[in-house]
Amino acid sequence: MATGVTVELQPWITLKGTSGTAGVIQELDEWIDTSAHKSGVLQAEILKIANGTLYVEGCDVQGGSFTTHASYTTGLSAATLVYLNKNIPYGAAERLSNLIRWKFISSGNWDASFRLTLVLK
Amino acid sequence: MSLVYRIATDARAEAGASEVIAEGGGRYRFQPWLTLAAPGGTDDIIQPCRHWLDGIDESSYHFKVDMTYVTNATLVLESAPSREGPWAQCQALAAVTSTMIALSSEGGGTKFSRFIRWRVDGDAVSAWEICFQLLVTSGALGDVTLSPRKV
Repeated sequence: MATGVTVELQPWITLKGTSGTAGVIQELDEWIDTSAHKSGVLQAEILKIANGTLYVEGCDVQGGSFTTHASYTTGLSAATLVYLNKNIPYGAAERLSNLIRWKFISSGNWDASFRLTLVLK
Repeated sequence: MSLVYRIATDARAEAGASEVIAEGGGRYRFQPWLTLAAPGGTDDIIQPCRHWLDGIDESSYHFKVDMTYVTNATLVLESAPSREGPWAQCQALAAVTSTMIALSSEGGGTKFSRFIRWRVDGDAVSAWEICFQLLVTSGALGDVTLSPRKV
């Protein structure tokens, strides 16, 4: 197992789009490969979300199906934490996937401002 | 084929000095997602010179442009043979789009000379806003291999 590390899944970002755009999915080379770690804590800081949902999701192999670890539809007054672990008895949502990414799915004119941090142990 | 991305170092540095920032079959994040907004009458916003692409060793680039929001502004991709210019427009985008732009220094298509940068041309009167990202690949698209970040 690798040593513990804190990584920014996404540094502060502000996105905005019109109703014709479906949203944004994080680029593959920015996903986090957590395969060397056994647990993680996701911290979400969300200043604003309008007309959309921010998902943090994961899969175990590239091309596999994604499981939603967390989803957010509004701004948060304080950072929230989601605890993830590769060991049972955690359910699917709490199981740390090997690959973690975010995506923003929109409806109508949308905008979002957020930061996502991942503590991996 | 080895892909080498060079960016222009500080404009005050000696002519021709550039820094290799990435090698291998990857894609360079020419501009990560950026949202800009301003009242009308502001000057153009130009990419900082330390992030300009130096295409001295490359004959072609493919830019992926994702623009999810734009009002009263134009995103311009432009090129110059030296840092001091003159800068020639390669492509101008003023509408929401997700598209690929091919630039070449030889053969057909849209040309670039050496340095490449982006500029946002905001409306001279009205408030403007734009949200975009620019990714770039040198050489053939088929050479690109992406993988998640190992930590």
